[in-house]
Amino acid sequence: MISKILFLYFLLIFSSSTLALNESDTKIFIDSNTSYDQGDYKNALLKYQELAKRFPKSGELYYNLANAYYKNGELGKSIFYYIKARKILPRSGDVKYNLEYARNQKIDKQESDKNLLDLFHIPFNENELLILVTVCALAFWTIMIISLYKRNFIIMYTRYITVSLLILTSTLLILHNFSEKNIGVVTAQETSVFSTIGVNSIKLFTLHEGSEIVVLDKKDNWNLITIGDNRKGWIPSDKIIN
Amino acid sequence: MKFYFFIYILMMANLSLAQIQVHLEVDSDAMSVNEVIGVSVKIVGARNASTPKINTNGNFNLQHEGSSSQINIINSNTTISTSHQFQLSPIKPGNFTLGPATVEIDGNEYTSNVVSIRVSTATSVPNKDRHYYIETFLDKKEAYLGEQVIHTFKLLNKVQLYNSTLEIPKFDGFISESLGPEKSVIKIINGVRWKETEIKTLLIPTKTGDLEIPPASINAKLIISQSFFGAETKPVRLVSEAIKIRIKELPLTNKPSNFSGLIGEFNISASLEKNNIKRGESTTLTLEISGIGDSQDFPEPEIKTNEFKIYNDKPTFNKTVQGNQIRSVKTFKKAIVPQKAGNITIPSIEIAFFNPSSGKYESKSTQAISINVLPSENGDEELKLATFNNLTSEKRNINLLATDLMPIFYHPGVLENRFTQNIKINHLYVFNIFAFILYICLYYQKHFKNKIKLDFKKTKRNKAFSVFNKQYKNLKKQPHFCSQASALLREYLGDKFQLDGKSITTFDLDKIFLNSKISKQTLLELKNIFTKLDNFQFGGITINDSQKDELMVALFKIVKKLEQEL
Repeated sequence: MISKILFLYFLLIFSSSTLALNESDTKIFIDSNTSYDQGDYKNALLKYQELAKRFPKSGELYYNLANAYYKNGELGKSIFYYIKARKILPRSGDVKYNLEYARNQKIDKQESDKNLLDLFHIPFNENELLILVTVCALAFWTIMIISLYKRNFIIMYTRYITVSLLILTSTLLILHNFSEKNIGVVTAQETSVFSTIGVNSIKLFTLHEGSEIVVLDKKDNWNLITIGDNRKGWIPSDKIIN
Repeated sequence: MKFYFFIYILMMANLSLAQIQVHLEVDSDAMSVNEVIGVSVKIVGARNASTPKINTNGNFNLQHEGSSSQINIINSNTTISTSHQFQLSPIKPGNFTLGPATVEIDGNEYTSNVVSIRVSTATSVPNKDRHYYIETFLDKKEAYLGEQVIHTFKLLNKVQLYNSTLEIPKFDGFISESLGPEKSVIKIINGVRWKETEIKTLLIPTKTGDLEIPPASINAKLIISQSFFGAETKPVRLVSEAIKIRIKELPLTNKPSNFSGLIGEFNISASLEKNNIKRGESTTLTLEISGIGDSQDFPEPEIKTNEFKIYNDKPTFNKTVQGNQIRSVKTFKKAIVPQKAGNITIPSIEIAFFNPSSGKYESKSTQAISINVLPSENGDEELKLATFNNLTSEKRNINLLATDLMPIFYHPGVLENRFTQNIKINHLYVFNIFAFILYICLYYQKHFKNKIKLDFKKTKRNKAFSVFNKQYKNLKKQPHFCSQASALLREYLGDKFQLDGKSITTFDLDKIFLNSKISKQTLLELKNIFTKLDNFQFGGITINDSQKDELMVALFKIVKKLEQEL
């Protein structure tokens, strides 16, 4: 029975539509790299952005896009895409180096020298976490079924261990998905954060390009953000990338 | 005991009520830059005070010497005081304020008074008229860049100094190398016994221009008087003069093209392991550059020839200090593999260096060495380099000229979906739902099976009487009345007790009803019926209708009774 379920599961995985790389995508990618090498960062950006819509799970593409943004002088966007690239390539040394390199250029010092969005950094990407959760779930259900027929000390403890691992990996997956949706970076040179929606309200503090934020809520063209340290406020949507 | 306790409480009460005061006192309000004076901070009315912090405004060096506590009881008034001693030495002449001193007691901060101190320039007493003095000097007033210069520090004293702490200056613009530990000698000058302590440091200038070596200083304690109770001491501070030296660039004229920055006096020697070898075999050429000066950075000498192949070994370097000079030896080993048979020559190798003593560039070279190369036995050009395991040249640091982003990814394959990217969160949900359903199915399967088993036994027990009753009605018509009646009764008991009814005998009855609630009378009646039935069945007695009726009634009666009692 279990083998049948597993067969069905893996059939489902393999039968899911895979996005094939066609010649035109390869050409766009090569052209954008050439534009980047020749210093035509604007053109490289356009092409990388076009590809990013079709390949939203390519960390390397986000990394190239971030490099192009950095070279084009758009620090905020480059930091945002480096963070996106890091979510998919969490252990890549190049991504880590370039992210730190870009962060060194920003003006604002945050969270007592710690970058806010590093708090959400998990050393596994979404797919790896999904595999981990699946393996833990498989182990959990297997041990649950075994415990129906046989009960002893080892089985009972293995049950506790597998359920703990399942909870842990599931929590990491939830955190990963939360951070993916809620991270943001200031793209404007300088922008104010207000106490309520509207530029006529009280200015709470000022942020500069590259400052990392967590978006808590969205209303009209405004975002409720936090930068940690209990600092919250509303910021116009066009001043950040999220 | 109570009395002492009372006194203690009284003392503690007095102590706790005492007013806390902090006083800053100095031995003298005037001093010269090479003097040391004592400073004390007295804390009155507190026992657990922190070490005082004295605000020097950056004009003085301060050293904590220790603390002492005192308790005075005068007319039942108890006063506790703590005194902290410091040594104060000025950094520059001028009029300065010292203090206030700050102490922390039970979380509260208390500050002292401020004192003014006038610091004058050092008194110019001739050295010969002093009891102790220090001096620092260099062995030359000007030197070439990279030339060795010796810095000497001397302490001369004809009185005894204790707890001397030497502050050697920072040699900015020089590479410094200690020329060994301090040396002390006793000298008699004009009949007076002087102790001379000397520390020498070798300096190698790394930049040109007029450089200044800051003064060295020493803090010590001078014994003023000695008695049975100990010695009375006075802190002293000795400061030397700053020293100036001019560092010159190396001359540009007559600079050899092969000059690599070697400064000093050097020699080069060359030796060959074997002068007669076969073609394809190797021999080791050893080049040794030795002399006065530092040759660590001397590069690998190059030999340009087509007659043999050269494989460089990792060079070795050794540096020693001999007679106030740095001497170094750098050894290069090269594996020489001749490419042809016959006489081949290793050409002369020349090194160029700048000799500061002569102020000129000089060069030294090796003799040319000839090798007699015999033809190879098998004619193959086989290189026998097994003896050289490490053929790398000396490692050099890589200088970082600039930093930039890491390069982009170029391979289009990075866009392709990987296996792991095909896994979606929905798959996980589906898997978990399947697994959950499977678990529930298995759970119910297991529990339902047990339930059915239990229910079957219960049903059989409950329906025992109705089954009996059904067959009882047709019993009289049965051809083998007794055996049928006996079987019916046994089956009834079997159903009631979840046993195999056919195998129940009269003897089993006691055992079956051992833990049951039925009365002894009922059991006795049951046994009688069993016996009667057995007698009719196996005793050869023919049963008539009236006996059948009698047994039928008795059978029904006992089963009814069992039904009630069980």
